[in-house]
Amino acid sequence: MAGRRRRRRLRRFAVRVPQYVLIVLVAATANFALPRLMPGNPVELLLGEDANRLPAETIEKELADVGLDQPLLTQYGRYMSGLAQGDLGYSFRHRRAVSTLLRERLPWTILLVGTALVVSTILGVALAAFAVWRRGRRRDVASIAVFTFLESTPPFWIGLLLLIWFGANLKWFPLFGSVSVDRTTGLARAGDIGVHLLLPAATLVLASVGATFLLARASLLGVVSEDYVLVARAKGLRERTIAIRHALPAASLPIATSVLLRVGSLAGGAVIVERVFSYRGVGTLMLEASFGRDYPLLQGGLFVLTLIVVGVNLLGDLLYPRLDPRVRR
Amino acid sequence: MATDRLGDRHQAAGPILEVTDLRVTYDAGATPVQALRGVTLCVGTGDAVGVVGESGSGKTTLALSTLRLLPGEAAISGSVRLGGQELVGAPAEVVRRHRGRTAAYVLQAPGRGFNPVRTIGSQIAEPMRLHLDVSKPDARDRTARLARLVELDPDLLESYAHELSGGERQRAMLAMALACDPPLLILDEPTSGLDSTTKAAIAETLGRLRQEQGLALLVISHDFSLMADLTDDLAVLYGGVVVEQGPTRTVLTDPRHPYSRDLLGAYPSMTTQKDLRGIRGSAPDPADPPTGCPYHPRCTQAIDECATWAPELSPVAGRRIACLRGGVLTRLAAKNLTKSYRTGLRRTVDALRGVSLEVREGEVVGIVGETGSGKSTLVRLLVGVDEADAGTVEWEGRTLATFEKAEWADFRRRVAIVFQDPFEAVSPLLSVAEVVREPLDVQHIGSGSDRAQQVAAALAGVGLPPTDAFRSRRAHDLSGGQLQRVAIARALVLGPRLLLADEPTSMLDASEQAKLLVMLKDEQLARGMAMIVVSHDLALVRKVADRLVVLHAGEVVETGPGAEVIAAPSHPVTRALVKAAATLGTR
Amino acid sequence: MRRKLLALVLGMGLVVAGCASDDDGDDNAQPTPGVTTTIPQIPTLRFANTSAEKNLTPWTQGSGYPGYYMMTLVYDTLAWINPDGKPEPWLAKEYSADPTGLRWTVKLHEGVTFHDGRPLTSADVKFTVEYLTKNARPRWILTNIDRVETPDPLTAVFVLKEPKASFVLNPLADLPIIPQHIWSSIEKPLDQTTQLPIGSGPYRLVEYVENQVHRFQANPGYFKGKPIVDEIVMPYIATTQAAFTAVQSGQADAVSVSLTPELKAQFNQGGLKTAGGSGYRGWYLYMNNGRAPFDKAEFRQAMAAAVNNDDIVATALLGAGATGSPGFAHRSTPWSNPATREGRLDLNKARSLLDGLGYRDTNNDGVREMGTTKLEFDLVVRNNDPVAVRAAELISQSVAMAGVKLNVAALDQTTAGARTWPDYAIGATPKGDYTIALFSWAAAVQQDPDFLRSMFHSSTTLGTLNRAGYKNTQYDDLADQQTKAVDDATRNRILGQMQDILAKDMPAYALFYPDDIFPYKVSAFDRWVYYKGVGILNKAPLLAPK
Repeated sequence: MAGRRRRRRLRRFAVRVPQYVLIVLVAATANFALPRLMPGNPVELLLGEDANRLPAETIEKELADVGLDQPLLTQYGRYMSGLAQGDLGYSFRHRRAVSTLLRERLPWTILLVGTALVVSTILGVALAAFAVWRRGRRRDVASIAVFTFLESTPPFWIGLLLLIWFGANLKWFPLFGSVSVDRTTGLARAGDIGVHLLLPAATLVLASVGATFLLARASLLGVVSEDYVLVARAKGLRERTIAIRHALPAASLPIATSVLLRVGSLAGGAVIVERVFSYRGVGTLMLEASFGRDYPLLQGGLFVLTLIVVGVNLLGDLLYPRLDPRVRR
Repeated sequence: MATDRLGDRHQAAGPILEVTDLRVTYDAGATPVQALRGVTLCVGTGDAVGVVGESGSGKTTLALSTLRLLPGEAAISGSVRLGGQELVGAPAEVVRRHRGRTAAYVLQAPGRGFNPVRTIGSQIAEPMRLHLDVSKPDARDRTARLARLVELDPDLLESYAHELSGGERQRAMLAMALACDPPLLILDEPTSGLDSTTKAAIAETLGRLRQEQGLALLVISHDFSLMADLTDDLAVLYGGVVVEQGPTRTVLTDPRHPYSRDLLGAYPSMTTQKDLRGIRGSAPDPADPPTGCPYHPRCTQAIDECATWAPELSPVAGRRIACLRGGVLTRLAAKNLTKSYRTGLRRTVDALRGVSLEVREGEVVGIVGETGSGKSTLVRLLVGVDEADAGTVEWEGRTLATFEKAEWADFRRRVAIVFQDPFEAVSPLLSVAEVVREPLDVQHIGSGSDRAQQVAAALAGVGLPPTDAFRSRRAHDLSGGQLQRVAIARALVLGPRLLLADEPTSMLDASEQAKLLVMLKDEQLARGMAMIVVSHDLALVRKVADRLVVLHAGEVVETGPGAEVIAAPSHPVTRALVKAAATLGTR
Repeated sequence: MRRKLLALVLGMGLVVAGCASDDDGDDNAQPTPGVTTTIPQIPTLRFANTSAEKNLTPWTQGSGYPGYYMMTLVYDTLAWINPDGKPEPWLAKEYSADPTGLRWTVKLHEGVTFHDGRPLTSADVKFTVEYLTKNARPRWILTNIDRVETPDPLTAVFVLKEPKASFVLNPLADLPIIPQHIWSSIEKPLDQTTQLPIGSGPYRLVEYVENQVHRFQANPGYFKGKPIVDEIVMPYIATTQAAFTAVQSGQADAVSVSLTPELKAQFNQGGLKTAGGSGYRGWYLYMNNGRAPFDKAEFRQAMAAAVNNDDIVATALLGAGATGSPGFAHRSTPWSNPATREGRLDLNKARSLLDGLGYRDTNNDGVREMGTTKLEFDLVVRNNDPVAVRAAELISQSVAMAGVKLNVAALDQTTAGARTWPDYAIGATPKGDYTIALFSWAAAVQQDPDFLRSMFHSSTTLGTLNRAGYKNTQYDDLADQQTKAVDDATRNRILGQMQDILAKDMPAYALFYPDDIFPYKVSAFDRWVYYKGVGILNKAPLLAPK
């Protein structure tokens, strides 16, 4: 029976793989087209401010060097064949391989977003469970108000308030950066990273915990009115046991779905938070790339982000049947 | 028979469940909802008690109250003693320890009673680990044994609820309820949503378990056949109060509270041949329950006092009912009627030889017999046209023979007759309106315009056009069917409590016959009146009659619920009639 | 809107943070060279940097300020501009031109070495010029230099094709001298993004992490003596608000970006102080001289007359700024023509000019028209500077009173830039896609009068910054003359004439210059000086005075 299930799951997975490949191809094409549809071009990025002062042949030579003199179709072909070989291109602005840049920056963003995701999910779900088990009381109403407010507050606002209060006024946390500019090693460095992570992650947590809370609350509310919760209670289970062993597992599918979907919006929030806290993640990198029309970095960065999102969805496809056996069909 | 008991059980000395004057009010919305308004119930060790009622009667609230599983907004008063422990007002932890241990709850709709994301087995084992201090492997063994006990394939324990059939889920639910070997099972609609085969199998399993395990059952359901199969005692719940309570068999075969009677009438079963009958009106709004007897707005025999006095349960005919009028009224009762006619100088014909008969409120009694069986004589005696040689006819407890003039007038108004041949009954020279109005004129009821209105209503009621053109037609211009309808309208115009229809359709063709019967039945139901249908045609009568009386040669040879009489006729005459009807049925 | 909110929040924070007010010292306290002989060595200075600078080589360096001044901590130039904007010898002991103005002889200091210990000689000067000619950068267009002669290791002779009056300002005081022994083997200088630079300057760049930090260490063997500050750390702070907050909370000692005027008071207390003055970075109203109706000088005059730049300075800058001049040159430059300094709102002039051109509001909708031509245009402005957007709104309001409707089109910087610049990718033909735009030029534009030529010369090779598409042969001639006028008086006269023409033709209108206000922490380092029109980050104050 287990073998059959596993085979079924594999087959389901196999069916989805071509879909994902198609999504990636479409996304790769869009990533190529979108930056080029934005007005402006990367000449100043390549040659510096007031590049018009340079002789025309210098400009043309530089454009030829980076391949921008080629027809769009040729550029597209090169880009796609590069991707096929795992080559993400060469950033105009940084004059370094896009893959190297991403390798430097991505871990920071993953650390930031991952921490925020984990903390906001745990916090949101725990608070939701708490609120649901105290449904109807004034505290529940108050918590809904608070979380609805948090959810509608832009992250940069939250970030700035945290920055001013905890960073500037209380001086508990650094105001900027993902590590201290003073070089540290070992345990001190880990502590340093943690201290720098705290405010940005807290910002993202505050900005996203509302959504998790509200969703988890709604899911749990749907679950607690289910008959099996009544049955569990009739069996003599303690309320906490019911919450942890019955309600949460049953509500975990919508919660997990929303958590995975929120990876995208958290990454969006990370762009802003990274900027507020000068966090050295991929968000700042991409933001700068878009300002300067750094086509290769935009293409490559967006492509990797696409892969991550697709990967997260893939993870979801693998995870959902574990969370809810009804999905296994 | 050896009982395969799963373990030692704490045996309470007294009743396992004692509910006394239980009142539950939900105070969630703007107006508090009174779900239970003083319910008293007792389940002895090993007893099986049923609680029957429509949705909204409070039966689920009652089930939940027994384990204090009501939501937070429910205010509970009275007493619930489970295994000797008072639950009302007890600390939550005390209540929790009794749940699943002293009484286990088996939920209706078993598909939703299991957590969809956990295996059936783990959920069955859960209460054992909690209450019995059983190790994991022991719990697994015990779960498997439980599965076998409820006839569930133990392989299915590793499955999830959605992978099981409805019957399997219900068996699993039973296994889960039995996990801690509780002395009492509370079964809330244990078979709803199951197909009839599965339903029967589950009922059979429950019955067996009760025998083997010595379980007490509290069965909450609207399913009378389940009650008949499973329970010894039955309580009928309506509007948050128990209206009838007694041995299941007694209540089901001879319901005495108007509600029980009507509810049973609405219940589809193999033992009712006649058409389903809904209860008029609608269930009471628990946010605004009627004063007095909760059933009075729908009751056909309610009197003014019913709206003000809340009746207590009191013993009637081997059960207890809560009805000011002592239960379903007997409208007409004939006792030991004997009548003989002189046909020649020396010859007398015994038309009736000791016939007894009862017609209760809202009941349709079919009197069936061949020509010469004494039907017509009986009819004449029943309506007081003729007097019996011996025996009495009583109308609502008073003998016709002793009636004063005024009483006769009242009797005439309350008992209407429709004859076999409308051409005989209706003067052909009168207009339709005059025919129908005549009884009103005779009785001097209402003003002219009132009468016209009533005539119009009566005509509409029997499906005739209440137009002036029709009303002014002469009776002899009408067809047989139309004329019979006019005759019925004439009979109904006074608002009788009993309608006696003597071969009402014998002059009509098959299609007219059907239409007329449907109409007659509808009128009976709408007016809540009693009806006697006299006919030689069993096939016809069984479609409308609650009870059949078979006459033969001036004697009652068989009487009983229509279905029983037809399914198992005991007398040769009845058998002959059934046989004749069967051939007619294939026509 | 977002910026305003940020400012608001910041303001809140500052109110809370700035409770203690112990103003220690008066605003004009300047370092007094010569009085102190022993200046204590400062171990570390943190200079918050809001500009995402890259590696500090001439080819990878980004902004004018602070980027160029970060790079010149590492590299030296032959001359160096003092706080008043005047060039003084630096690597060069002396420099002079021959009477033709075509030969400039530069004598180098003895004993100057690069950070790796190799001596800096005239060969490096020659190499720098040749290498930069081959691998040109917009800041250093060296096409006028015919050759560099090196009669001896400490003498370099620049031979020019034409005399150049601004030769000392640029290249001498601007061109960083790079070591030949390192760069001679570098094929693509634009790719030097990770190899830390070797220069001769007072500091070595010892650490550079993109978007994180630049770390400089004092060069103990610097030819002008070891700098006062041992280590300068320049952490990157992405937002100006966080950077200001960092200074305020003590996490940074100074910041590379100017405060908004309303914050000035709060940064002059609690151990903080500001240095600043009228900046040279300014905002200009550009009109597309090639597009009707802006192809007529009268029309452009009318537009300029309808703009109230006094009100802009008062309202958008809260008074902390200077108005621009119809003659384009900043009023405090030595070559500013007093006659063309003041541009004032004159609605009557604007109205009569427009009347004269035939534009009348015939349908009484408040907007003038002539035939089918209605005077309604998009005013392009970049959206990342709230002051500029506010100014654009004020412009729109005041020209509306003259009957011209301007719709403010706030676009992102690159889009706005692309709209108001020629499109390079398609070729060298200028192709501005705008009618009227509010645009800013960096401080450098007002530091060297030769920019007046690049700005408005009609030749595509000389008027490389001619965004307006202005064409006037008389102006071209004068611009070419001033470049060669070695004599300051002659040159300023010609420059004055050029400004007269600009004021008359009004190809673009210099509107306003926000004041620079740079906060710093007094206890960390109090020798900061505002370099006219530019900023405070400069290597000179970091050196002990002679």
